[in-house]
Amino acid sequence: MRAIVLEESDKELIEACRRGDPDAFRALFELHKDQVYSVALRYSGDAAIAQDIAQETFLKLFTRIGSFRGDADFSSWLYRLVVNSCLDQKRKTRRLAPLLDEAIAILQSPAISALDEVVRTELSHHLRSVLEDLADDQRMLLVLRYTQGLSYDEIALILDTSNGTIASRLNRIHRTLERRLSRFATRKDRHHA
Amino acid sequence: MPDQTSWLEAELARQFCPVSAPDALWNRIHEQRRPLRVRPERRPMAMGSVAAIALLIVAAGMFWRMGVTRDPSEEITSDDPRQIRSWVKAKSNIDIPLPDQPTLGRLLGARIIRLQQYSVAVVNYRVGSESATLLVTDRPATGESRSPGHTSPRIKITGDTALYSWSLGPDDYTIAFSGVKEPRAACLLCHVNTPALMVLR
Repeated sequence: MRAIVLEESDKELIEACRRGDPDAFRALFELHKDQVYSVALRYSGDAAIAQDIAQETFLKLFTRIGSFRGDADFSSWLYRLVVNSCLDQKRKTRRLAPLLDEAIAILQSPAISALDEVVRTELSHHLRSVLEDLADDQRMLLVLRYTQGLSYDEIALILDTSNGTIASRLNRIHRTLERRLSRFATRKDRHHA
Repeated sequence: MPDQTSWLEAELARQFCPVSAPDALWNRIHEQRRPLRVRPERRPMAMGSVAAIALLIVAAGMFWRMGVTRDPSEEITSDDPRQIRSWVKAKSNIDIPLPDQPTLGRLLGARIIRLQQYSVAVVNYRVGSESATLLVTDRPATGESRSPGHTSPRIKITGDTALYSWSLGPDDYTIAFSGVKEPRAACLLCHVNTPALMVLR
């Protein structure tokens, strides 16, 4: 996660944005574009929708930068913008993004056998279908945790809840995923036996 | 599966791995760098402006709420501001100074609608998940002198749509924008920042 505490240069950049400096807007965009787009893409699962979300997020950023308090946590503030933009999107348009090259990833992993590869691929596909059924807020939790690598404390700050709540919800999601994958896990164990 | 938890963690990390933003993203967000040419002072509205802007608001309402009869020859689909500007100019003699560079919004196209003795140029944008429509008409010459800057500003909120109207040179402008929650975004269609709103308030 980007440093919570603003560096002096970041403060200057934000101040320049407040003055309407177009170069500062561009610089701020370059600093945060991957962060915003990654959340948008992993949440929406659609590149076109992700670009819409990212565009809307930066639009909000540029128009609301004047209301950002300089002593506040800019990173959390930006995350809230993108999270809200994501949640504003209709869930029906959501689907998981095709993996860039799943086959290559599988081939590069230390597979034990061809059969093992098949089972892993099947598990991976099944996980994707399970993830598609998650509620919007559950999916956003996973995005913040796994796409951005945020700690429970950081996620709690963004979602305005407690550390314990985040831990509990993530634990529940994991248990749900493991339960729904158990049928495939059993099959895999049987193959290995 | 003994290693299911670790497998799940690894698989989630793989499926949710971060990505790089596409290069085209900035073009969708890019603002016009043309300096603002706005007048800070407000002037009383001339009656001609009142009528023209009222007409634009009516046209905006028609277009926005109900749509208008479509004539394919009066419509162009393009995201090229130069092409739209020249097409509108050829069709209606209305010259809209659209930014040469891509603006905050994404241009979708334009059309001309004919109302009474007026031609109205309608330019459509997509701004994030919102829609914006710029309507421009040139008021028949009345001998009334017009300021080169934004004058006669008006804002009208109707439900989930905001209408921003002003005059610029010989033309009257209205933006119908669905992003009522983010009204300053309408200014960013043509301006690098939002001080234009200062004269629209």
